Amino acid sequence: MKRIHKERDRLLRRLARVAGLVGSGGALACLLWPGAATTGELVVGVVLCAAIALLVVLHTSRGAVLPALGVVAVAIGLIAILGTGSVLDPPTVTAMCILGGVASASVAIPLVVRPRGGLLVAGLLAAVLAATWIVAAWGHDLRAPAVATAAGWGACAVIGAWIDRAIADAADRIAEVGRAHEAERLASELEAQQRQDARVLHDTVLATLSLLAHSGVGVGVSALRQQAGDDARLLRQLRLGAPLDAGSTAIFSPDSDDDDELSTTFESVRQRFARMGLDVNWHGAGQLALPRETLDALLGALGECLENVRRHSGVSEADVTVTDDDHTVRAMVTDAGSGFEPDAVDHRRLGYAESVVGRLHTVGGRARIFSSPGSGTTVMLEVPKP
Amino acid sequence: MSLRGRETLGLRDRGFRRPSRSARAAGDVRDSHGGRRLATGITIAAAIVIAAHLVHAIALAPYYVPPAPGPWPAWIALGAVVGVGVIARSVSRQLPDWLYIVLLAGLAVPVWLDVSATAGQLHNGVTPTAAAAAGAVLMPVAAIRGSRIPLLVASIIAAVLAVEAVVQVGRAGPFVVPGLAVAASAVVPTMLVMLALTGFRRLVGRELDLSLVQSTVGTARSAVGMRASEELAQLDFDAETLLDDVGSGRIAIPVPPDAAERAGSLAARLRVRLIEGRTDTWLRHAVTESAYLSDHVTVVDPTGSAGLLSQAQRDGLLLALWLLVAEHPKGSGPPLGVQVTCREASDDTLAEPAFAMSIDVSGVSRRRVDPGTWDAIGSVGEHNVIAGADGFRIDITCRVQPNPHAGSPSARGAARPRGTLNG
Repeated sequence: MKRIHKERDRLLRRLARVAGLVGSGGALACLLWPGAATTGELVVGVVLCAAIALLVVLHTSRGAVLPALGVVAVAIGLIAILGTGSVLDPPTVTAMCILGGVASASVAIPLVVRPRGGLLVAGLLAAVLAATWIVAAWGHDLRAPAVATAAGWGACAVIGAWIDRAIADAADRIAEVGRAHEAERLASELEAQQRQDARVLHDTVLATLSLLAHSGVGVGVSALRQQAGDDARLLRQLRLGAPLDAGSTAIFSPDSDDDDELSTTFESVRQRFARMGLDVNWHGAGQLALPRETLDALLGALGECLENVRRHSGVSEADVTVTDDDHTVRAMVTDAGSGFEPDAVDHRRLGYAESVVGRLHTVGGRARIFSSPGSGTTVMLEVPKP
Repeated sequence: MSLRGRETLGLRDRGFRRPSRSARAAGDVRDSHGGRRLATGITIAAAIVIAAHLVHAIALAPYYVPPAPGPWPAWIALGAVVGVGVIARSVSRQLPDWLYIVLLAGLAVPVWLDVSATAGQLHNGVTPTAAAAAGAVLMPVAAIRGSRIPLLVASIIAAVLAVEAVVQVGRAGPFVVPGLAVAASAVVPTMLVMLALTGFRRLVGRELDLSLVQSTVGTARSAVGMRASEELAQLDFDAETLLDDVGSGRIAIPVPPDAAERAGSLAARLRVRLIEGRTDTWLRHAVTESAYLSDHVTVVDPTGSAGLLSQAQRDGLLLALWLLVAEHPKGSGPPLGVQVTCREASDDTLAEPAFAMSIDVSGVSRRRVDPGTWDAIGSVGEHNVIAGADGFRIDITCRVQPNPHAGSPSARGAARPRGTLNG
């Protein structure tokens, strides 16, 4: 059974329980009116009303059909006992109305949504009406209970049936909304993914933003303007959904399928640093067959290292050497600058741990630093080959 | 994608706001689609109840003792009020508030006419009919305009009728009982309708929430979430604006302090956005985004293991959490708490890659849990249940596919049929 049907049945049973208990309690209250029933009738009435309440609870806790039939049968029995008495006073008639129109009718709410529930409910209603009609042969006017019974059953059955339809409608619509939402989520995830993937672009944006955060000190005005303009243009292209690995914007995300890609990408990195006053000399392989993710990580880490050289080394030149063997690609970033004592510097402060080591770790690579004060710095970056 | 104001950017994980389109569609479901169908049913039921009262009125009409005018003036007044309401609603879908109040107040006319016509006649068996029918008229009103005020009005009508019956007790004797029963018939149907409506709305709200949260199941191993993705776009856009201003010379160099500060904070937030989210998984997003789960469920998953689960396992886990939380009756007993913890498998003898997950449930006993929960958990992995003092713990060994990198999120989502949770 579908889960939403389970929920529906639970709701219907809760309604039936409230109606059934109100009905049996109400009928009992009528019988308790002084002089309304003989002592014998009262005892039977109390027992049978309690039995109806019990069966209602039984039926509405699990939804079994048998207790529901029991509710109707006991109600018919009580109607018959009350209706065949010698005197029929107003409280008794009222009790019969409530028995027929509320207590027994309550089971119609959950029963009507069962397979062939409509027939079942109609049959039960007919049984109660027929019983009332037969009892009327004892000479009492029982039109009021009959009308109350028909109305009560009708109203309960309609409520049950339309709750069922309403839930079915809502379920369809919910599924629709859910599908739309899923599409929206996938689109937004994809977009976020693309933006996160455009790491090389974000590296240069972050570098430029950092420069601006320091008021652009130490970089030529026109170089900074040009750099900012370039970055803004690339961000706009990313926003407008330009193809992420088109030739002219290879800085976005190099694709290893294209042989020229690496050198193109490297050239743009070189230009970026050249504008900011650091000349980078490239040695070694110009083509690397690496998965895109790995290449992104390597180039990102490389960019971070060069940024560190630019900021901290005090020289305006750095060398990048790329070598590879069967298992590993190594990139060495070397400068002849001031150097430092690797153990004495908090790597976190350089953004090294997160931007270099973290990047390489995600693709299974690692980084090592060789440096000492006065003798320059070499950073070795390694990523595994597929 | 809409670009939100930047003052909202710092907020994260504090209350999830659905993207407006989904939220609007969600409200739509509750208010119009199923709700309209339900209102139709309630109207039919109300018509049946009113018809019964009318039959009662016809049966009673000969027993009215002159000079009482009989039941008809009250019924005509009731018909007038209902007629105005129906016409007004068919002209404009949204009934203006003032007309709504006038119509509710207008119900006092048939009630008053009926009460004054039947006063002092209860000993003949003559009870109000149109006044009780006025109570039934409120059933569809409750469905269309919120149920509190109609229920209040119905209670007032019932109270008036009950008082009318009780004050005649000296003369009417046992006829007070049908008088009181008629009074009750003015309010009981509306009460049932109110129960039906609240139950229906709650049901639809929950199903909707689940349906929306289900969309997290289709995401890739690590997912940034919908909010984060919008924020990243916003950050990129802000950076673009700033850089463009610098590039085009609108901002002077050296950069003025406020722009420098803006650049610094943008860089910091962008850096965080770009490197974070690696261990955020669908599970975290599902819990954050669900109005029902977020109050009770916490996720401890430092390595993002939940992202390794397959679609079927995710479906099962989400449904199990759902059922655990859903079964809790509101406002009774200790507060319900569910904590999902993922950690490395302690058992290295397993041939396949796996990790251990435990679900600590407090505030609900094992017996009260929906049986469907165990089926759902069974689809996540082998599990055993350990009973505790005020709850229980479910330990699950989650076997995972060796290769979790299976295609792009969109491709995976498309390949997966929706709604498997309902099975």
